[in-house]
Amino acid sequence: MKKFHKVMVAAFILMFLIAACAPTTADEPVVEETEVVAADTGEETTEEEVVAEPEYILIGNLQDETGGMAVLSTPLTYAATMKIEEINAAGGINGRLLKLVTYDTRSDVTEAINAYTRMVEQDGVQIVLGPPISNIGIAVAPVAEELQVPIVGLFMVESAFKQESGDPWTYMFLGQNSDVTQGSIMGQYSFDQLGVRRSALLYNNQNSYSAGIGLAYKAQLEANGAEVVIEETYAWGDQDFRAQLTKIIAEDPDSIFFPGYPAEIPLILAQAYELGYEGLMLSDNSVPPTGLSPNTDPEANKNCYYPYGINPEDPELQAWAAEYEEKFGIAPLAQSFSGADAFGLIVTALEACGDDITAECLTAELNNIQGYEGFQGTFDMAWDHQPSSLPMAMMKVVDGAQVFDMWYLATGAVE
Amino acid sequence: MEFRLVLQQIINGLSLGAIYSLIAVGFAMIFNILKFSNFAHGGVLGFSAYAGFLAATKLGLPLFPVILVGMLTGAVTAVIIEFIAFRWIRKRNGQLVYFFVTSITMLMLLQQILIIYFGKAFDYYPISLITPKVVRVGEVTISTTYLLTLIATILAFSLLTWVLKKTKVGIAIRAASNDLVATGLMGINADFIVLATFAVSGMLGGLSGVLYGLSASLTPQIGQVVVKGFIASVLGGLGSLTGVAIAAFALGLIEVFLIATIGSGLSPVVIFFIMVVFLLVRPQGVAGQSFVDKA
Repeated sequence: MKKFHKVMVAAFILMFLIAACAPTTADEPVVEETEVVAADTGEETTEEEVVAEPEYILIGNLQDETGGMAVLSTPLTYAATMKIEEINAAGGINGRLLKLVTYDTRSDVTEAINAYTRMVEQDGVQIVLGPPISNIGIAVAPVAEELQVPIVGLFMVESAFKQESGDPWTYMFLGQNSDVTQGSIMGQYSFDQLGVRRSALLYNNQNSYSAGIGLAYKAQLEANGAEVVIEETYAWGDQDFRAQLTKIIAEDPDSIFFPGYPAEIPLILAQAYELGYEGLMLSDNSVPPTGLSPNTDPEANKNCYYPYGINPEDPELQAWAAEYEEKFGIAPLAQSFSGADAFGLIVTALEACGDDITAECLTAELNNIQGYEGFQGTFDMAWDHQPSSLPMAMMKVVDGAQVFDMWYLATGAVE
Repeated sequence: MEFRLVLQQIINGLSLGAIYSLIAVGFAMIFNILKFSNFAHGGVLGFSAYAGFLAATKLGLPLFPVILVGMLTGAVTAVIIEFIAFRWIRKRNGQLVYFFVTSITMLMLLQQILIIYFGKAFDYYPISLITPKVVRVGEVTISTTYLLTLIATILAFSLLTWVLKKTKVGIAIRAASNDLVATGLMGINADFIVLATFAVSGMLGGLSGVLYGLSASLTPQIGQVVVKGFIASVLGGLGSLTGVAIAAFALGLIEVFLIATIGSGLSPVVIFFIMVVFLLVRPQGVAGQSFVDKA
């Protein structure tokens, strides 16, 4: 028995060692914490030639590489990597090559603040590609005000780029529509195009992103004379929503609007279906990573609509998407395209500054951006540091597939 | 609240309670023998849930083999934990608090291993495993996932009752739950009985892991649901498996009605308050026995 005991202990230690050597993610390519993208200028060199160390422009990259929101954050790193390779292959900006300095926030605000401070004070970056996570954006905004290095990110919650006074944080810029804009657009679209007059609202009242979209949706719907007949909430980590959904279904609404994160969306969708709800299921731009995957019953998705940053059927996007998929072995998400746009804004500012690559100049140029053509549309940076009049693509599910319906603004359909 | 709504919430509550009862009974079995709260059971549940997930996604196995993989993984993991974590303490007549602390350490260790392999992101069991369909019974709807959980719970408890009452090992486990030392003195191999109890408890943990995984998103922290099993054990009484199972169903019902009335944010506060009241007023729970050294 003693021998057996020893064998078991040895087996467990071996198992632990194997675990320690395992990759951080199961199927995705590993991205190094600090990624150096080599220049390819097309010129041949010989061994005898002394190659001078190129001069780099360092760009900070604050992303959740291993935390709970890595599924939304990793696409930004991939998009930036592709953009940098394109630019460096063409000779860089004013002869200087771009280099990404990536830090993992692990979805943790303290880690994120430390990482931002380190990339500014130790690595010397003059501009930062920010995360798609609003809670991280909110936490970093006051630190950016002190360290004075601009961040362009996808943090949709208004408080990530606006102060309580309503004025924008000086160094926080948004590279896509805000939560309020998304909620308003969804409210208008569901009223105009889907005929929603009595909606239910189910959101996470501990998540500013979910609440921001939900309350903006309600306001837009009510402004049109429709009503939210029941408003239910849930908390972080909830897995069972049937108590709330049962109450909602008893009110017989035209639709259930449930903005949230990818962890909850498929569960809400499936549980509403299990409770026999056959009305419209409306959610947010977090649907695609999991909500429409093969793991969700297509039947449960059939009445599902959601807003998206891009039109996936656009041929121009598809070429870039194919290149992206070939390079990283994973299909791009909306965050890949909006991440590319956010990085495109950074590049625009860098080009405008020329030889004067300072945080001060870059901040000023980000404020001046007008007419930048991105994957999501034309960007005009508004006074409050968010793109003005950027429409959203309304998506619907037909036979299990996500289909583009139309471009929409909070004022109505885009011609 | 109208009757139809109440009836639907009862179904929802029983559905949740069925999962809790599987967790709670597996949890309480270890308490019956060794008299400590084994939070490592959550790690067993998590390991089993992911083993079932891999069996379904990588091997493409159908539902019942996936459940068997989960149960087998649960049993093996629980036995390994007994060997490497608890046996040494037991052999040295260690205090119960050492068992308790070790069990929490094991839970965290197992979670970390899952994080290393699967990251902190979430996965879902493939829908092909069990297609969510709706069964309408009068005014209420019952999902296929719930029916599966209920049938599996009834089968598991029936089998457990048979094992405990009719088999030699089961009778020995019951004897050991009264007094492990005395059982050893009567000529029964106490080490084997403890091992068998961990194996049975692990199988229940494995079953609950797969069933819970089917209706939830899969994260390395999935085992933290063991807290619900602990609460049910406190309410039901750790000495009584029947009491624990009934309390788990009651907990599911209470939770659902609290969410429906005061909301999801406040309901855990009320549940923990009820548990604290029980610990102060009736620590042995509704149907359990009192243990002086409860840890």
